[in-house]
Amino acid sequence: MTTSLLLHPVLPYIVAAALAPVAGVMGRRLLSLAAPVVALAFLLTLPDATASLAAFGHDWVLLRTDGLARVFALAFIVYSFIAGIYAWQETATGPKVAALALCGAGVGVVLAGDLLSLFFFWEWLTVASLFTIWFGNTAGAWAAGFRYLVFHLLGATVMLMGILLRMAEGSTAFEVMPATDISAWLILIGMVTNAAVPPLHAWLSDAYPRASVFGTVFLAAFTTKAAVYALARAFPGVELLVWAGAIMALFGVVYAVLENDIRRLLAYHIISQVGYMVAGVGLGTALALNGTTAHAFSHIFYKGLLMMSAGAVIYATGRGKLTELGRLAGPLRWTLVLMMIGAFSISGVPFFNGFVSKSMVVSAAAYADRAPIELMLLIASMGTFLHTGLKLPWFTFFGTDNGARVLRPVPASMYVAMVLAAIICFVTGVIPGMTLYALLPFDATYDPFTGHHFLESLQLLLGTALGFWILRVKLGGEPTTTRDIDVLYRQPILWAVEGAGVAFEAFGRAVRTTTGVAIAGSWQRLQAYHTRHGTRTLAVQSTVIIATLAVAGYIVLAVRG
Amino acid sequence: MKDRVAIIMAVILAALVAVEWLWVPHYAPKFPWHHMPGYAALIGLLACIFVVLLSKALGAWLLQRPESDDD
Amino acid sequence: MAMGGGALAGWAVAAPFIAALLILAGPRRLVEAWGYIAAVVAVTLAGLLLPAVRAGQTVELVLFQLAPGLDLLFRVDALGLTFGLLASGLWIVTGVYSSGYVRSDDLKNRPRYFAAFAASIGAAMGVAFAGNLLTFFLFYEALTLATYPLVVHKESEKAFRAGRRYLLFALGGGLALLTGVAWTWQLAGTLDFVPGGFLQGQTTPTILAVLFALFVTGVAVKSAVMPLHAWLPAAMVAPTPVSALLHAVAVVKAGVFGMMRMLGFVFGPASLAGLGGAEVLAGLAAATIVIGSLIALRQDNLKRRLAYSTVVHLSYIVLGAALVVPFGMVGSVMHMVNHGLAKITLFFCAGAIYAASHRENISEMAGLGRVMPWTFGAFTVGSLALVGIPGLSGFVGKFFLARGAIEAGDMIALTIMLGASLLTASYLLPIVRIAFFPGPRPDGEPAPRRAEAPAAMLVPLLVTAVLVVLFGVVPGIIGVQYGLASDVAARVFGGAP
Repeated sequence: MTTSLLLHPVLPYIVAAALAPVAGVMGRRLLSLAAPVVALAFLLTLPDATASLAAFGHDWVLLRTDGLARVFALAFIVYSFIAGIYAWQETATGPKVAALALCGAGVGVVLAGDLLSLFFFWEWLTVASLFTIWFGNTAGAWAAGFRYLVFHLLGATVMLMGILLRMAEGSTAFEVMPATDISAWLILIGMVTNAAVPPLHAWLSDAYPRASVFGTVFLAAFTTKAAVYALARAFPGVELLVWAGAIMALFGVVYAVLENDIRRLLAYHIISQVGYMVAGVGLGTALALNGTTAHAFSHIFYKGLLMMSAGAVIYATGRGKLTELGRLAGPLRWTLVLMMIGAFSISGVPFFNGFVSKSMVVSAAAYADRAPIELMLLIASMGTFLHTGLKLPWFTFFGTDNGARVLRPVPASMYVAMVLAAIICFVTGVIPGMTLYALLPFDATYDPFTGHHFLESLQLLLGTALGFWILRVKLGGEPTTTRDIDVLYRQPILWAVEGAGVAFEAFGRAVRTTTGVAIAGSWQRLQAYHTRHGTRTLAVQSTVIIATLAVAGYIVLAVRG
Repeated sequence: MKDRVAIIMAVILAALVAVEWLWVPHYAPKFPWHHMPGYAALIGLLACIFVVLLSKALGAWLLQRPESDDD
Repeated sequence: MAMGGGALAGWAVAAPFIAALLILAGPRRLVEAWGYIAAVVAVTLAGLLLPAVRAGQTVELVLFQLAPGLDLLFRVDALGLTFGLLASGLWIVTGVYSSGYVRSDDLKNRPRYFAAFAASIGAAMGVAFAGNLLTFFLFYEALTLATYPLVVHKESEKAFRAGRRYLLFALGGGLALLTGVAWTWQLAGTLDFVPGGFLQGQTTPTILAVLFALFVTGVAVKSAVMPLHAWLPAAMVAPTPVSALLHAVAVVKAGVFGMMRMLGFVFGPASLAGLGGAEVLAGLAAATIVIGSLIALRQDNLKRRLAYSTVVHLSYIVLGAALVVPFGMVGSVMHMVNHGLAKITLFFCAGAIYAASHRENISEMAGLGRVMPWTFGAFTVGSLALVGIPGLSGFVGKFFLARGAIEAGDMIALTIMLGASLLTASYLLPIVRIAFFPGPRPDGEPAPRRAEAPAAMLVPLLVTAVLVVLFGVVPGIIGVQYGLASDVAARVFGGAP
């Protein structure tokens, strides 16, 4: 069934982004809330259908609504509304436009119906993210933004290469594609780049913490989850992803131990949580794919909530390092409560949304007889609680007083946004059957509320808490930053590019000099002559020479004719 | 001085393990540890200690450097 | 229609030349007006040819016969019309922009400037509509001579040095071209462009290879394929409108247009098969893309960086044509136009920045985006287009060029074409960053006041920025530009891609 492109949920975002520069401050605020509302109305109106546009000899399927696309689009749209409220205090034009573009591109990716349309939105997601990072407007943000850009353009280029190769073979369908030929692998590489699968992950922890507190809240939701959607759509059951996901889930945990920057700590846990989703895609069973989808949905809201509450702390105190925070439980008690809701959700505490979604992937690993995978994911759950549930709140709100004071109150708009996100985390955790599970596209049922699941979770969490308590002295932040895999290529690439440029310039100069010497005799005599007789004679003489040659040529031609 | 918090946590943990052992075994045991009551508590505690020590060692050896203006 | 198609073409070429004469002879206050009138006339006449050309009719005008079988001849086809519309269409916005620029820069010798500008456009139109090699050659050389006064316009020592280098390269290339033309006449007895070429079976492969070298050298100079590119960055000493229209669009596009003529209408797929020449050319173009980008990264002078960017993107077009496959040709024709739109926007911005702030070096532009938000907004659009972000003009060419590389089975060309996007991003987007994100403002310092360039400069660059957006989407839907490009490929390769 086909439908009209005029109901495309991306359109409200484009219109709002276009109007934002000419609207006032209040107008921009309302636009960034109106766009999601209209987009949601469009999404709910649309039947399961596709809509396309013929251009440049290709049928661009810009819109496809089906079960899988709907869940992601719904989460993105609702989240963009909440983040829009959170960013109420952002008065400048640029960040608003970038944020609207980011949300729109994210929604576009999950609604794209062919590979070229996917690529279209994919690239705009990169551009919007780049500017969102740059609006952090510090030396760190500039450099990280640039690295982000190059990395994502590289991923997108590899992906485009794969898409074009497939196109030459005759198909740009954005459907399950067996990872057997080179084009599929290229596309897969492009997708896992955006999913931050190690070793292609460094852009995330590098860039996300450097945006503004508002910017990070937008960044955290879209790129990786859009990539998870793309993987779930195109590459379910690819064995490599099972292991990549499980390693990814553990990888972020190790780094989070060492991290001092609260937003970077959360960024490493994005990598860890997306690991569950990637592993779910790799398992490829209906339960695993439902788990991936459900966990992506949960993740968007609890990670948003965590980033928002971390942002609130930074907004209020002007500090974002664990070694500079502490003892804020009094003045920022509501922020603490809201952060703990996010932390309980991400850690899988019963009756919060992580409990009902993460466990689907873990169970799917067990049902698929993947013992090491289940074990790795369980250990990663421990790490999640250790850092986001214990270390982060403990050293931010309790621990020792490092001089952090509330310099300005957390605005009501931030609280409203966090409360909305918290409600979603809690409600979908308590009644998943009527909410989250009802949206899931694949044919598999799952009941998270079994006695053993409760016990398993509580034991895991409490065991972790005990370990944390014993080791808490060791776990405080240290005033260090952590080398990530990007130290291997950051400087060498810059040196290589710089060196090559210098070499080619020098070569060019040498060639010009040598050529100059070689023709020095005649040319310099000519120059000397022109210096004596005025430079413009050169043009005249050249004309004469050309004309003479032309006449000579004409005579030759005429004789032959 | 006794660490009262640690003791309370350990007691609750033991109670949870006991409940699992006596009344609520794994609903669909697949792997060896599913048959062992309290495996989750063990993973939580041991993995926590292991991961922290491992990360700290890695950090000291390779990964950590002083904060710079760039950050 | 009162006039036949051929007459329309003739007047479209003549109009700029007539304007040039009127500028020099007429009253001083009309100096700019003649240009506007001629630009509108030329683009209208060219536009009127569109239906006939799309319908595949022959639009021809014989000016006079030099020898039996050798005419000065205009013949308008899809390729020529695309270039003709590009050159004359952008002349209109450049005319307005020039009017603003000469005032803010207080340019001397305005009649000479505007007359030479008009003559250059006339020559470019002649190149576009030329029906055979001889006509092509004459207008191609006229283009060199007409642009020389513009390069040296400032009459500084630096300008003259750049001008000498320009003449040395361009006239040297012209000699190679002339030799090739004469030899071809000797061998084939005809010089008329034929879709698919006319040299196959006319001579031995060795002579064919030599001819190929002569022709390609001739047009490679204006296409700035390395190592024949050095005149272009030097020519940036010219006033910015000259850099914008001529050294980003008309002159250099005459080069790549000539490249397509030689490859598609003189040699053609049949005689290029097995010759090896196209492969060498493709190698040079690919090397130019990489090396030019690396050098562009190191330029602090904005116009020089843009000039190297032009060198790079011209080689995209050359590479597409040198692949000798239908999609490559489509991509080249599309990129000829779409790169032109994006690059003229960037040069207009460079001129506007200079006019408003007298800054030429990128490192001095910190925070200028807050002062000139519209200019740098347009600059951002142009930059993203050249990077190849879909939905903007630059992506379209890249898309078809890459498909051409796949069609030709050339994975190295594919990798270079797509990979160089990263380098393009690396040398263009940091300019955007510096302008818009200079770092937090020190406490107490007031927000900078807006100070854009005069409207006569600002409006043209906004117009071209909008065109950059429109050409990323609209030609695909209504099919005019894409239609012309596929016509070219279909006729050269004897079938739609």
